[in-house]
Amino acid sequence: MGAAPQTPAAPAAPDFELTAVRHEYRAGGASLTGIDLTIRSGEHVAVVGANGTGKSTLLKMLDGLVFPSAGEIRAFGLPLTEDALEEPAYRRDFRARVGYVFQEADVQLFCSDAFDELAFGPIQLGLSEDEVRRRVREAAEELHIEKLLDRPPYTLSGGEKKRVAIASIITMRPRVLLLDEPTSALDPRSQVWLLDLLADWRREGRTVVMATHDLSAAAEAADRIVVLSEEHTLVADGTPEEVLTQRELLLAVNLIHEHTHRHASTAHRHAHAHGAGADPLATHGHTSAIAEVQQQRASGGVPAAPTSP
Amino acid sequence: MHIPDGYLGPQTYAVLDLLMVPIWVIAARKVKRTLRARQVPLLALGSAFSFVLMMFNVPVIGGSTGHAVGAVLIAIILGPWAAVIAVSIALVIQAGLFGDGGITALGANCFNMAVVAPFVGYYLHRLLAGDAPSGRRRIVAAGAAAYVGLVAAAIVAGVELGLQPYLNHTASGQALYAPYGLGVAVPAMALEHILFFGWIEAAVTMGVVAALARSEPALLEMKPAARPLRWLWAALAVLILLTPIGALAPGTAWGEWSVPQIKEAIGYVPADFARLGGVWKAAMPGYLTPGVNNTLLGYLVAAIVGTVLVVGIALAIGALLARPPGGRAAVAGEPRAPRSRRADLAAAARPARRGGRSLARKTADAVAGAMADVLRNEDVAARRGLLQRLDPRVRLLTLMLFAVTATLVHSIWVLLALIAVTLALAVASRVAVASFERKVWLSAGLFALVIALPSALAWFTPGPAALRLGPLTFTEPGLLGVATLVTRVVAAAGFALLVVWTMRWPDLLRALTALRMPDVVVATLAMTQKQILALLTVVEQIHLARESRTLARVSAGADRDWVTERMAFVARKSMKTAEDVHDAMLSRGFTGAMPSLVRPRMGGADWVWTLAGMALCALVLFADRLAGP
Repeated sequence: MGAAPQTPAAPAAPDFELTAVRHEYRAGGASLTGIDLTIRSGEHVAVVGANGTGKSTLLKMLDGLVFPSAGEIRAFGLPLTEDALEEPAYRRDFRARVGYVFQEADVQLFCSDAFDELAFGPIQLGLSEDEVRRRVREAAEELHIEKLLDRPPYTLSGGEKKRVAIASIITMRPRVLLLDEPTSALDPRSQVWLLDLLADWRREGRTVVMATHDLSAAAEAADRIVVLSEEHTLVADGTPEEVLTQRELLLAVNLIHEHTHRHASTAHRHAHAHGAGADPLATHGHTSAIAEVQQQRASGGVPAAPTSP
Repeated sequence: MHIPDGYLGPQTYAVLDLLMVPIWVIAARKVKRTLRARQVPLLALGSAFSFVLMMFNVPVIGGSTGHAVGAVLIAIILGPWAAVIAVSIALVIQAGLFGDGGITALGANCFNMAVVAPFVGYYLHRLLAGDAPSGRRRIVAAGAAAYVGLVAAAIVAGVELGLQPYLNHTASGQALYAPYGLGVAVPAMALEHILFFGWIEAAVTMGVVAALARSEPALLEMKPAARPLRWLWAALAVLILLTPIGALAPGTAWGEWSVPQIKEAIGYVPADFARLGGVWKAAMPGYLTPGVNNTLLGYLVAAIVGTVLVVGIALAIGALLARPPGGRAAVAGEPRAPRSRRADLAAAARPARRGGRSLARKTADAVAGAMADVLRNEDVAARRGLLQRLDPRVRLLTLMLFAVTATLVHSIWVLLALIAVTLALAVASRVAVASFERKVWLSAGLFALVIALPSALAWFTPGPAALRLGPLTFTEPGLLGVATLVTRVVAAAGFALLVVWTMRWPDLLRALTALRMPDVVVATLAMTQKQILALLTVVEQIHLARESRTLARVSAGADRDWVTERMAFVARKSMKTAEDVHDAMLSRGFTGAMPSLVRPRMGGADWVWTLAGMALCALVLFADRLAGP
């Protein structure tokens, strides 16, 4: 296809720049409005918000699957538009740089077995057969799914599906990973595995944007948290410490709620987060499931990483 | 309406198989133009929806249930050409994954259900609905279109079956394939669908269209009809409406195959043409006015009686074969699917009912059974047996060659030898022989026997009497014809079932790719199978949830409303999933092609097996010529 005029610019530009972005599914009803957001290379950003606040829409926008009704998105320094993605060289480059792990693995695993699933992206990139096979092997090793490669997706467990889904993105060697609710539908041990994987990616300098309402996962995996309100606007942007200590704000956007319960004979109230069992604000002896597993791991109680069965 | 292997002679199925090829090519081109890159997920979900639709039990009269084909409904939602592909793929999966409908008869089944029904229904719907985007007119038009489309498909199937005695018979008048002539097969198929299955189709289509009109009108949007073509649709619709009448009235369309013409053309008068009229003339002399064509009235009465009998017998067999929940999976020591425990819990919680299993339970059980089948196939296919060791292409092609051979053989003895071959292959491939034989003999063989046995009566097939039971006389050629059909059906079903049970689905897809099947077709098949399993899970959960909350008996009407609402829900979910899957594919750089890297390789054993299989088939055909029918 040759050198196209519109190849993404030098890595000096931020990965994504959103200016006054608005998105409407149908006229009048915005699913996102007034979004200004810059994501720099290597950052790990968690987008948190209650259900229906537009997290997934934002992620799909970053992946060039939906486009703003108003405002502008630039990716790697160049405008990210429907027209730009029609250009084969730009599309190839953009798709190779940005990987999207869908919330429902069933949606993402559309091939007849795991090998084809992992090979799908590299084949679409036009790589040679040897290169495709090499990438599949490496990704399978990285995610410990070598034994699953000839299995059809419907014979995999939820955690295995997630691994295959992530591996099928990894084979494209993306610089940016977009994860939609990555910890949902994972048991505590797989959640720990996922957080370890995110830590690896941080060392490798990969950019991660994850949409979640699991505040503890956001607190552990992200170095920056942005909060979407139920009015579909961006209401907070900062480090986990800065954002997660704003109790009033988190109550207002419905990420935590007042919770009354009893310890022995004394009833008391405290803020309570909804997530995969974690409670980052609790200060009186409630430990999250993840923290529990991590403590056990430190003391050798649980195997370090789940291996594929 | 699924025609199994063995009912159609080679001329008929070969013509229809070949006819389908250009139709699929044209449909693929049309669909590619209208759906573009979205075609794979949309078609896959359309096919999966079509398949899943056939799993929903719909209450009819008297506590009985049936299922819809949904061809017209799919055509209304996706357009007729997309429906051709979607319903064809659903039929391929039924044949290849679940063993419903024949391999050699695939072209015939696709022609009837994926071409005739969608086109007739789609254009009739457009004609009747006019410009009405929604509302009562649109819904009624959809119902009428579904009814007529299905009946038209049934009539075409009747013609295909009814041609067999004229095309293939022995000198003594013994039928070699489907035994009934046009005069019985067409009215029987037509009336069965006019009286029974057409109404299910209409009810389901109306219900789903009504529910979609309320919740997702965008799915039903119609492009403005091309006005100059209107009159053509009108003419077409009138023709179609007249067709069933034509089948019964003298001098119109179907009357052209009258006795002298057939005799002239084939030199053989099917006995039923000549006999039936006389029988009824004798039975009801007072009711017949001289001007009425007694033969045709005879057909009409015979067809109604036949329909009632066939439907009645089919329902009775269905009731007999229906095992208690959980019993299905326990057959022949097959591994029991984990979900049946869940089904048992729900079964324990459900209130006792007159008339057996509830509607929700029936559907949930059918779905659980289908999924257990898939998992069981996966398990059998993973064993290291004879067939499993072979290259998937070789396995597929040789088993298909055997199935074709079974449809070419005329001698009962040679057919019995082929049945022995299926048994030997089943043992060598470590298939659970008891359940294999049960499936082959009970669901394929017994059905053929019930359908064909009346044709052995002297009324239908004249000849020396072989057996007298009271007033009924079975003739020698008649019984031989029935035996030929049953053994042929069992042999062909055995080979088809071996394909289904010993092929892992990914292997089958790779075999198809290696056999130069277009990528898009294979990709759509792959995705369809996956989505069917996902949708089936949803359907099972819907029905179990319903079952667990049902305390009192509900009326059939309320049940029907509920079922169609759920179907509309599955349709919406299918389309939503198609969008999501398309996004997921785009996100990974999808450009329209879906090649697979894993290509099967032929080894020494594969070549030996291929040659041995071909030699065996040649030997079988040679032996058959020696043995004579």
